[in-house]
Amino acid sequence: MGVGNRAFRNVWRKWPRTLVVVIALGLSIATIISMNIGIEASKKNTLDMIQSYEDRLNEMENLNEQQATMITVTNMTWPGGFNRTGGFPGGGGGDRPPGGDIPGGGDRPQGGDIPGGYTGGFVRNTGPVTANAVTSISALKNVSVVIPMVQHSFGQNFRRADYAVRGVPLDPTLLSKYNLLPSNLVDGYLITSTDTSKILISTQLQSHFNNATVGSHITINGTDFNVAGIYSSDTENNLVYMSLADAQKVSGYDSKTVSTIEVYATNESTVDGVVYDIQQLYPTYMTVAYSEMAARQLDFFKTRQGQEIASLESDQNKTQSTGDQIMVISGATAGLIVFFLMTYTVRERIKEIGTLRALGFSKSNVMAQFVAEGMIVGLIGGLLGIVIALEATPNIMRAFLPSAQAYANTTPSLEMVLISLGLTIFLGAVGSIYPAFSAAHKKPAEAMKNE
Amino acid sequence: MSDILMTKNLCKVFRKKEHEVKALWKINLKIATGDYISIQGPSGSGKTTLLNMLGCLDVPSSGHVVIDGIDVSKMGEGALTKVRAKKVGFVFQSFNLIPILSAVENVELPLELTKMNKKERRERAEELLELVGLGDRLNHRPGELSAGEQQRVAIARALANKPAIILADEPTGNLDSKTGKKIMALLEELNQKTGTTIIVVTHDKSMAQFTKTMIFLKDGRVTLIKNDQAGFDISKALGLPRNVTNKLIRGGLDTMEKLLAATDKDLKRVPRLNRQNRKRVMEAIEEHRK
Repeated sequence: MGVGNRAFRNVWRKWPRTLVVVIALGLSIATIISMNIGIEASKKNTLDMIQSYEDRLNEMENLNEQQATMITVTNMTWPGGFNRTGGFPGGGGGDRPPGGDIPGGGDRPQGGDIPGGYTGGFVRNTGPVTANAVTSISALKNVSVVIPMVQHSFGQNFRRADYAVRGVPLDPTLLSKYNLLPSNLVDGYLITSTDTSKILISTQLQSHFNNATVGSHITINGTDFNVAGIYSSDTENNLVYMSLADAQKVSGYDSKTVSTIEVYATNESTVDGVVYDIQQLYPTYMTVAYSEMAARQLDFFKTRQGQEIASLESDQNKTQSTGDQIMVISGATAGLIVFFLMTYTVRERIKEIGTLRALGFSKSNVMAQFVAEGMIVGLIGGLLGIVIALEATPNIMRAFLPSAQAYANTTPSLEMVLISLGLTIFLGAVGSIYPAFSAAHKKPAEAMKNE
Repeated sequence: MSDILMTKNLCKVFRKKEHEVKALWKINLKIATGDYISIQGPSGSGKTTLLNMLGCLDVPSSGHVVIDGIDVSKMGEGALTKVRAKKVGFVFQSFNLIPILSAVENVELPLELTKMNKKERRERAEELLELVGLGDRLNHRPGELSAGEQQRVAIARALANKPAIILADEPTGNLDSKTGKKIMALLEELNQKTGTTIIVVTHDKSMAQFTKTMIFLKDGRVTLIKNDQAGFDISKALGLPRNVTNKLIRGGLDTMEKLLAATDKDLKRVPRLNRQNRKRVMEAIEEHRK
């Protein structure tokens, strides 16, 4: 019979005691596993969030570069008041960082940063801008192109629109040069100048329109539309794209009015001059250079981002520190549990140790026997710990790392399971080394006297 | 016959603070191969201490212990462990069997230190348990065996490595007198069959009568060495247990000549020799006459 077999039998010699020890060991290991999961989840969450912020920043900077020559013209004097239709220029923004109190709540001029615009913000539609302005502004010096648009929000909720229609000119030249329609079409086709009563909806809006798909019929403000395509977007996912004429119809504009005019200057250096000329021409309209808005928006975003990242990193550090402390305590507890068990076991079995030594077993034989017993206790405790961890990790994390519990995947990975088993066996060995050493070094004659 | 064990001026002194106890003092012994010896003496006379020295469980303060030609008195712990594994078998008063192991596994235990494979070890252990009369108790754990059976397992374990000497410390101390005598008779039988030198520490004179040589200790010194070669020879020649032979000797039938000439009437005069033993002796005499 080998050392392992003998050790296994010895472990269960006083099985109630071993069971208690194994349960205590299992709880310690389950706690270590749960803390590990929590810390890893917290790290991943922090890194994901930082990456997300960086992606967003890059996106904004790219957009700002693309839209550096853009100017928006809107009418803030819509009869009917501030409450619903006028709104604060660019206000709103709802639950997104760029929103709220800065002009230009959204990330694009067509969106929340234009009065009348961001679909995720307040339900606030601006007044009409005369279509004649398109001709007048086009005639101004240093103006490259003028694009009339209609954007109008619909919804029952005061704070958030259910969706917004966006009408754009379907001129092929404009479409090819400017991003007037969504770029990520997942089904159907992009509407063209020959399409009437055709719309594009986002994947998110499909459920809002009774799980509409390509070819479905949708009624907006009494007008029937046919879904031509479905697009996907992480940011502007609340828009229904249609032709300018259709948008004018469903939004209550006539054919001579729009909600917004986008003006592109010939280059960045002429933007201020063009803004000035438009303000002179239409003093009652709100004329804003996108670059100016974007700079403030970007500045705000960076400040907010810095605060968010600092907060995340602080939370992560707290989670790491708490988790580390609990793991060290649990590991030490596990080691001590094995140590006390083995010390007690050695004390109980001194005579047996003496007998083994008398029979010719060397010190290393005896030591190996007790270390093997410690390792077996560790192994069984580890296995139990893994079972407990599989079942109770959410509860353990709720108790010790509530901040990480929300986003942690609570199933331990195979790698973690193997590492945990290795750890418990190691703790079993370490915890039993001293008791085993003391057992092995007892003088046989002295040990034999023990009763 | 060569000496398997020898001590020369063997001393063991225990020092506790300023107090000094001479547990053994200048012990000189020569023990022949195949001898069956008892060490007797009152409590505290140094019997167990001497046994520990002879069994390499402890080291002497001075003097020498020579086992099978090897002086072990100056050996380190590692070397002593090897000597114990190869040369010495132990039988203890409280048996000291490993409770989680079956009888056969207990006997196999010292064989793990040899180069024997698993099958050979099992065969050897079974053979030894057969020898001590426990062939039908191989897979019983110590807790499932009587005290006498446990001591038999311990004796089988002591024989496992074919040691040069077996040291038994009060092997009948935890047994009733009947079982104790059976154990002593078994040791005698094994001594005769295997030729293994057996040294038994006991304070029970009735148990010591089974042995061929008696060593008496008092206050750590040897006071008397008594060799009962005649009784031993009669037992061996007639195949009788020593307790029966001792009764015959005490009854005046102390030589082979007297025994071979004895009649049933002579045997009836021997005190405490019951009818069954008388019959046994007569059968042995007649067998020997043929």
